[in-house]
Amino acid sequence: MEDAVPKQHSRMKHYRKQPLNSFQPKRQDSIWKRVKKHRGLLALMIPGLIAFIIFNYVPMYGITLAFKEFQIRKGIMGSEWVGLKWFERIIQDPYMRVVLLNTLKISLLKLVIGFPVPILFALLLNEIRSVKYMKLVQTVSYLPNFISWVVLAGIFFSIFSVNGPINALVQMFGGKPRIFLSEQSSFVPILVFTDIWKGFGWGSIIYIASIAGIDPGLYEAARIDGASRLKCALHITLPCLVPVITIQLTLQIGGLLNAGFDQIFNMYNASVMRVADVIDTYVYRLGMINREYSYATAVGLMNSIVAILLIWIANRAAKAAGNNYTLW
Amino acid sequence: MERLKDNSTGNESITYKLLLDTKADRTKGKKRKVKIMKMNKMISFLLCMVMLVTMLAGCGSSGGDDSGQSSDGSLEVQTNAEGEERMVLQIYVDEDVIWSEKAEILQELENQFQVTFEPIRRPSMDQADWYTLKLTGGDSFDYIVSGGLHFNEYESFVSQGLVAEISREMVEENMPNLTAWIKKYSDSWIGDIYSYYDIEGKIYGIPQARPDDAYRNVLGLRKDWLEKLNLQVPETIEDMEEVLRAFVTQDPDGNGVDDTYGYTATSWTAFSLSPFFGAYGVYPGNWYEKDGELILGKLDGEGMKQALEVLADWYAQGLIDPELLIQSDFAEVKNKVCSSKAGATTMYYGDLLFPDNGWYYSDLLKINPEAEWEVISGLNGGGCLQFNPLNYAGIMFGDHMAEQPEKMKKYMQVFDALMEMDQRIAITWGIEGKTFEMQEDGARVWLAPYDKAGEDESIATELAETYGIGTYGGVQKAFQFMTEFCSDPEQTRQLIYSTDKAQLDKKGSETAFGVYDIMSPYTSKNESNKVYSEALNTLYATYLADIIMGSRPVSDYDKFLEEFYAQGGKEIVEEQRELYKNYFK
Amino acid sequence: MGKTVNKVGKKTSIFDIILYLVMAVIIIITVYPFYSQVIISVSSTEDVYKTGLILWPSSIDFSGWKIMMGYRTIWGSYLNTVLRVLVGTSFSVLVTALFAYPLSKSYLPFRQFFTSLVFITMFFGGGLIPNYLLMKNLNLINSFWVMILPGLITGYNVFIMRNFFMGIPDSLEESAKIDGASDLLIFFKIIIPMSKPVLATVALWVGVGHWQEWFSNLLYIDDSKKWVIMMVARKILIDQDFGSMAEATRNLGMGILKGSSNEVQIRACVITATVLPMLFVYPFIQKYFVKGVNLGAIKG
Repeated sequence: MEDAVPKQHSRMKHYRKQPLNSFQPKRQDSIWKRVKKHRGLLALMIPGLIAFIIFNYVPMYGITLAFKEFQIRKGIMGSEWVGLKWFERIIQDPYMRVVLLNTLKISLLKLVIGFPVPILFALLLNEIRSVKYMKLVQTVSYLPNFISWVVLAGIFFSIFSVNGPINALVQMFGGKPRIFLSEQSSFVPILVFTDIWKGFGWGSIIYIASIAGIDPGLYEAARIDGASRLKCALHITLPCLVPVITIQLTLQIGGLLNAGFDQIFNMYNASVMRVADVIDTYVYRLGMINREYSYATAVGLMNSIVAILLIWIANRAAKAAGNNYTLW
Repeated sequence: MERLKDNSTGNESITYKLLLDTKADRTKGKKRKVKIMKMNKMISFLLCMVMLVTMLAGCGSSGGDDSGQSSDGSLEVQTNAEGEERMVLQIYVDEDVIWSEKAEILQELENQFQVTFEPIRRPSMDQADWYTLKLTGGDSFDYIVSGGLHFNEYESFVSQGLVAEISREMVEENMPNLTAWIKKYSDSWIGDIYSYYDIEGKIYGIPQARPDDAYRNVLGLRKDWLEKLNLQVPETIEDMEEVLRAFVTQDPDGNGVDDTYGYTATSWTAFSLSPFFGAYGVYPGNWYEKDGELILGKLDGEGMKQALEVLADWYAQGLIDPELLIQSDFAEVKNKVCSSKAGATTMYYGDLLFPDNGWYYSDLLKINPEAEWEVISGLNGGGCLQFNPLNYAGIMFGDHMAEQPEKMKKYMQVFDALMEMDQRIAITWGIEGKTFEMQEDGARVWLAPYDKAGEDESIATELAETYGIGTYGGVQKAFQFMTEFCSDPEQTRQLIYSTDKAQLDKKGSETAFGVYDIMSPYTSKNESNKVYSEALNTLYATYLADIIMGSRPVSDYDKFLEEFYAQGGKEIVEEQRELYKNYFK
Repeated sequence: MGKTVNKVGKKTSIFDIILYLVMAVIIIITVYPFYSQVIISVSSTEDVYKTGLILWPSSIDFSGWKIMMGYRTIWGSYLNTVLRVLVGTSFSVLVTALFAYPLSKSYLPFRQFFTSLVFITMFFGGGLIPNYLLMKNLNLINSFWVMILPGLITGYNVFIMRNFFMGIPDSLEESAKIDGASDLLIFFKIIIPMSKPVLATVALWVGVGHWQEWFSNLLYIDDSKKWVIMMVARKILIDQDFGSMAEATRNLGMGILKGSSNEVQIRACVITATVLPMLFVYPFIQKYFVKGVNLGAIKG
């Protein structure tokens, strides 16, 4: 009873950094006591745990393929070890450096320019007065997400073609028609903007859902204090989105080596190869000559490790900035 | 416990009431507590059960579907309804094909060969991947055949011990039709066909080839435009330039808009620009013999530069579609030719000549009934890119068949019999008098109601169920492979096409001419190729694009050659020549 | 229903006007490509090949639709897909939420361990072959469940839900606990009702994912009667897309039921037929994204 008081004092300075819902254990319970105490909670996790183990962890032995020479008859387990053969091949391949650079360039552009767009869109949607209009815009904004790149590539091909609408505009302003998709300077921006166009509506869902969960009382209080809409958005809405933004940003940073295979594969061509060829497209073409499962696994493994490293860094950075909604 | 309030503006909201109300009786609360705890246990238990049941249900439900997949081909013989013992042979039933055991043609075949056929479901696309996956998963098949399997799959399967060894004698003894056919067409390939299937002195596949593949692609020009503008069919590069210029400047489609291109095609330049390279004796993507040596077309600097000179010039003049180098989709080209935006292209002759289903022709006719394509072999006496007739893995037997040589022989005999005209007629047209009849001029026509099978779904279904032929016909589709490969073109024409179409087909295949890649069966053995070819292909493609589009001079091609050899090209060529010596000399 | 709070004064400011205009532009640029596909799907051949802006077909031609709907497996595949979406989504959301909720509690034993467990699955996987073997060993090949069980719970969704749950104030749970409510009860009676936005979001993601997924069909299901709509759509497009290199021009004697058609148009029909249903369903989910669902007035 009495000892509760001094303990709380010493906890005061940690108070702000904790998320809203943590109970502080009063004593250092032994692990088994804790398991017993929270067994109900643990039980809830059983179905998901079983699913993870069976469908994610059991097949993981396949990763060893990255260190083996795959033989169908022998299966993965029986195939022989070749150590770092594939990784050596990756590192020694001079072209790998080119595609790695391209991958990073394209990914970073997409991240820096594209990440804020769904957030901005969600905030703007939030400001629309007419509910009907807001719902319309929202629904319609999802459409591009559902159309695959195979189709979109064809659509953008016509849009950017010599006789297409973009060139018509260019000519209206006195310029000469250009073949945008064949120019290195315009191809990557086209990749970035069409990708944003495709994904912003769908990507804004999570932010809209989060905004829906904000306590309206906060807005009322701000209103009473005379805050403008802008202030509300900046000081209430945005901060409440921090948990979700954190997770999204962290995970997207982790995906830096994935520049968008589907999109690039369907849209690139020989003239822009030098800037558009990325790791995934290169490895895909390599794999087509022979069905090299082992090599592809090795590249995939390398990608995964880099992704995790990136996420770990992002996570650390977020924690240092005082954010509690990080992955760990 | 509070009752949570609505928010003050009175909008719709959700209120919550907790199950326990602390104002209530404590005893009541305790009883409820116990009850709830029991309920919890029940619920958790139920959830676990649900998961388990789900999994088990998943385990059980896969049995009993009609895929008839026998995973180890263990059924050797079966006693059928009449009490006879017959061998059970597998046949492939692709996707939405209807399999009907009562189909008349099927019964005929079964009786003829004294076998029972057992269907195995297979997708109609991605077959090479499908086979690899299934074999990896431990399934095995009596035999493996697919147009999607090429020599590198053949070797890969053999080296992994997935296929059974057969012998040349075995094939020659049991497949007389095939053997005769091979002899007849042996000029279509270099050397003895069995040498292609020879791995360390042993044969693992029944040879399959398609000589037609070497006579497929032609240069097409709009005949109606040529006539309208009073132009001759071009024979030289200079002629062609004139024609293209006329197409571009003289508004041949008569729509009053200056929007026509001369030549268009896809960005697969080895194919789409092949007549222009062929005019100078080079075929960039192919390995072939020149002056007694094996070369790769794109490395023939002299010929390449001459061709590039012309192409760059034409491009600058606007005679070639500026989007040619970026449109990888054939559908884009189709769009342009069918809307009469371009007057010349390179394509398989059927797509230019067949009015009913020619890809570049049938839609064109719908818009412009007067349109017609003229096809020529090439320019300056050269041709277009063609394909190697021997690009297929042949028919392989699963390795468990090594213990069932009698069965392998039976398969061979059945396959061979399907090459005969009578059998082909049966599986394509059905039964004379019931599904088709012969006319005086020798043509076959469908008997009503089957002549409407192309438009009416139910008739096609009936045809498939009663006879086993037609679009959904199980029998027809299953045995088609035998004649898709080693067939006699005359026979095929007689059988499949109407008289008009047969003539068009003949014209097309006689016009097609050019060079194919003689090394395609062996390139997969080239180790340096595996490592360097991807990067080198990109190098080539970028140089080509730059030169044709004018951002680099044609003389830069020498730079390309330097870089090519320096970045692994030298190794590739050397190794390729070694392989050539081994296999062709 | 819905938006209440931002109506500061009733007058429309310049900002509102600009906003409406911007949104109108957004509507146009996001709808137009899809709209043009719908138009193409009913246009005549001549129209299909016209370049430039297509606003309305000059003549209506349903031949593309007839061909597409004539595929024997298409109606069955719609049914299969709906079933898959319903079953798959409900199971997925339930299992994911059950897993994510405990993870949101900092006092959960082994919390770091579970987080890492989930996290690793997001980046490492066995690949095609081990998964194929697993499905084979579980007897899931050619089974309906092979489309549902493997992707039942994913790391991404777990983290999204977890973070949302972390934002729910403790006070409600504390009071419930004092009265002896079990975790399960709290989960179903408190957490779930308060989490409608995130549950709806994940349900939407999972549901749409199921609607669009076809790769599992390619790998694991040989029987075309069990296929889902996207797999059939893919087959239709490939069938129609017989470039000259394919065998189809050898396809034989009789008029081909599915042949000699305009693949641009068929593609437009396929897109319309597969995307439109998703749009019809969305309004039902939308109500969960409306503000005010999560109520305040809880003193901490």
